[in-house]
Amino acid sequence: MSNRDSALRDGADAVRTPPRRIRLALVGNPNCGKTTLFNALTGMRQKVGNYPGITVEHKEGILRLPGGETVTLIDLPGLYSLTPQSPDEQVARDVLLGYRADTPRPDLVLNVVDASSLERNLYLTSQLMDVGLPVLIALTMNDTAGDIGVRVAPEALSQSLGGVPVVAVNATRNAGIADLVGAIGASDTVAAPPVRRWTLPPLAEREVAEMAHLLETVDDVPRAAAFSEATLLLSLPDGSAAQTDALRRHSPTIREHLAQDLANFHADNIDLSQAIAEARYADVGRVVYQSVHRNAQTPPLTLSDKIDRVVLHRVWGYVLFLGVMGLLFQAMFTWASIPADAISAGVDWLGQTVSAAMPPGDLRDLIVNGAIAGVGNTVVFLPQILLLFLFIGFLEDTGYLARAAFLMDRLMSRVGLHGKSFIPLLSSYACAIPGVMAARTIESSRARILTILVAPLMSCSARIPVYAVLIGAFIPATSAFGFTVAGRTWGPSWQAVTLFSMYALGTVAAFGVAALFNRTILKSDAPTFLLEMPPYRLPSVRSVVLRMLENAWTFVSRAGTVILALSVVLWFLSSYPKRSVDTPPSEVLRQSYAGTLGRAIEPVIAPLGFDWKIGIGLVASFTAREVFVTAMGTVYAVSEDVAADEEKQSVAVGEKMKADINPRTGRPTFTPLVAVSLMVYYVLAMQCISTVAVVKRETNGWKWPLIQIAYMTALAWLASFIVYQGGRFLGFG
Amino acid sequence: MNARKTDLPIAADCPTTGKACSLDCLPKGTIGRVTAVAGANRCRLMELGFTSGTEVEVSRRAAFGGPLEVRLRSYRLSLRCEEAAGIRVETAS
Repeated sequence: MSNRDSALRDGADAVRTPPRRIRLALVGNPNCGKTTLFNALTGMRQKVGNYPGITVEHKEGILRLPGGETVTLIDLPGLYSLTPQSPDEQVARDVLLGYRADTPRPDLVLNVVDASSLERNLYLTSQLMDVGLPVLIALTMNDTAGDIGVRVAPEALSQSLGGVPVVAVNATRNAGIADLVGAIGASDTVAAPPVRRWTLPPLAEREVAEMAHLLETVDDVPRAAAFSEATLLLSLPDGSAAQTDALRRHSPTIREHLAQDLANFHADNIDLSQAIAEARYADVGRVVYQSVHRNAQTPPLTLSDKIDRVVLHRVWGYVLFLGVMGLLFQAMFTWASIPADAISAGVDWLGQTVSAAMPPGDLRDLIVNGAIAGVGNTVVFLPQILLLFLFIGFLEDTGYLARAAFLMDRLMSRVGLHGKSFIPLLSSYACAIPGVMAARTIESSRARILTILVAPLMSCSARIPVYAVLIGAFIPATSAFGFTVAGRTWGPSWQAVTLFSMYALGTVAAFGVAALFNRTILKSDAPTFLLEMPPYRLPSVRSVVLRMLENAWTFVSRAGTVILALSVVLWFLSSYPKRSVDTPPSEVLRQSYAGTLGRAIEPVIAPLGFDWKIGIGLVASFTAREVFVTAMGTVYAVSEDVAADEEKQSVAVGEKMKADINPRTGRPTFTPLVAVSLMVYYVLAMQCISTVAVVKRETNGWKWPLIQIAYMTALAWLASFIVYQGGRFLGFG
Repeated sequence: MNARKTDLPIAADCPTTGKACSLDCLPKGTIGRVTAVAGANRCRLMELGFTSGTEVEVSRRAAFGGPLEVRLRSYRLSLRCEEAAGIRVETAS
């Protein structure tokens, strides 16, 4: 559109070359300040998505140069190396080498280098300099480096890297950004890719050169990328999945040649991956020696060291951790529920207003009970998601998240989870949706999937209304055990014991299932826990807030659409086929598709002690667990004025359930045993389409959500069966 | 590299085996020199800087046999004992 406008305007000199559009890849280690720099360069002009078919985030932003040119920044995931050992690294490598059809090869690499851990950061730089693209370095964390007595001279660094431009920046304070933008604009003057300055042992060097030549002539790999590709092929373990994957791109000639080379290496006892790592680090050592000035008087203990004496202390560390987690729990449970309740009330009000304004009919029902309710089902989670990601943003950017993972890893690793699984699982007590999203902080894909799989077993706040109705109606308030002091008995009631047991059951189940999956379906991926402990830093509020909004938006745009669609489907199931207007609501529900389904599953749920009415409740509450109470209210035809008040409704539904007599046996349908069996079912079953939608989005496919639904339903059925049949055998109910 | 390293003596030998041993058997505060790396994460460990001859200090051990925190190439990394067990170090300089 704008192109066309300018073409019209400049019609006279149509020969003018169009403005150059630079594509720039932003690459750096985790914790190097890359995201802050990306935000400083692009502002709000960002676009976040996923690379098709994988869970790696694809982020692009736009930077306008003073000269009017446009630069597209591709923010690649934070990584330590370009050797593809995780999906993140695979994507980064493929993008840089131009292997991804969906992302054109960048023209320039902007490498963000953390001055405070220069050696390790320069390892990635060394790899980037081999991919055949011009490289530009942004040197960050110069203050932190100063704190440990290190000063990196940008000019000397540039010189020892063979002329790669180096600009020192402080993105939080916006210092050096203009220089960096200038360097990007002037990049066509440094457009030649850097020259390699390190060498391998002679035999290895010869084989690599030969392979690179073959790749170039036989497989048409661009000359600039051939060396990088050759070293990768030659250093991957023979017979590994990574090797098979890398070879998929190449011809049989290359395969044969590779097999022969590897045999030669084996005979000569050469391990190329080791030789490369050592050669690169040797060269990095030279660069560091030439460009780093060390203060004679290095502070023996940095501030981070001093803070860690408390934060990682064997006693105080855990005390502080519990305090931080207590605050998080409080925030998710209590503070987030204030705006969440307001949103619920707002959605209800909107529904009523629209109801009043529109003539009754299918369209009104679709809008009010399908669309508005569906949108409500999405936005109601926003307060918790925003709050959790605000919290995680601060924990991550200060450096505390890595410490928390260090403290908790022992406990979590026993069942195959990761130190970083703790926060997602804790948040899942409030709601599994932000919990599943928070699992993104876990780098190990195996631990991440495991965390996502078990997170919905934690008793979330949507289960509380179900527990409240059933416990209130069927579990006595009498003291379970306790001691008598001064005429009063102190101790928990049966109600409290029951509620606690439900939370405990969910937690134990989560760890048990994690242990089981860890030994079975996820056994093949190697577990990893290699976690950098970055120095403590003051977080950039802007970065934290941007990331929080980004996560919330991803949820609304990706998961929200699925939640909306499923809400409409469930509305349809519970209101069709249509009955005449004077049919009572209980009759409409009973004869709807959902009611039919509820009745149809009765044989399956009868061994758990459930009748068809509970079946309807189970089907209807698949939108959200708390819908169970409303659904039972409809089934038992609780009068509408009572249903408006949540507390009264809860009591009324309980009373109706108690009074219900099974026509076949002539005895009450509900006994305390049935109530417990039903609660156990709700603890373990995946009764929440919003979670399904989020798991689908976070794992980028239907495989894991389907596995999750299957195992949770099976587990719930089995546990309820054992409770009900075991209870009957022991003579309860 | 870091001034801390000169403050601390390089231990004469490994307390358990008496000679070269793996990183996970070093007590807190000792420095080892990497001789070889093995295990599933071998390549990643070398890329993170565990190359032959690199000095690594065990700076902290988590409670209940949890992860180790080590310092190398002027940064701090935590890793599990299983992973540290694959890193052979010599402690006599």
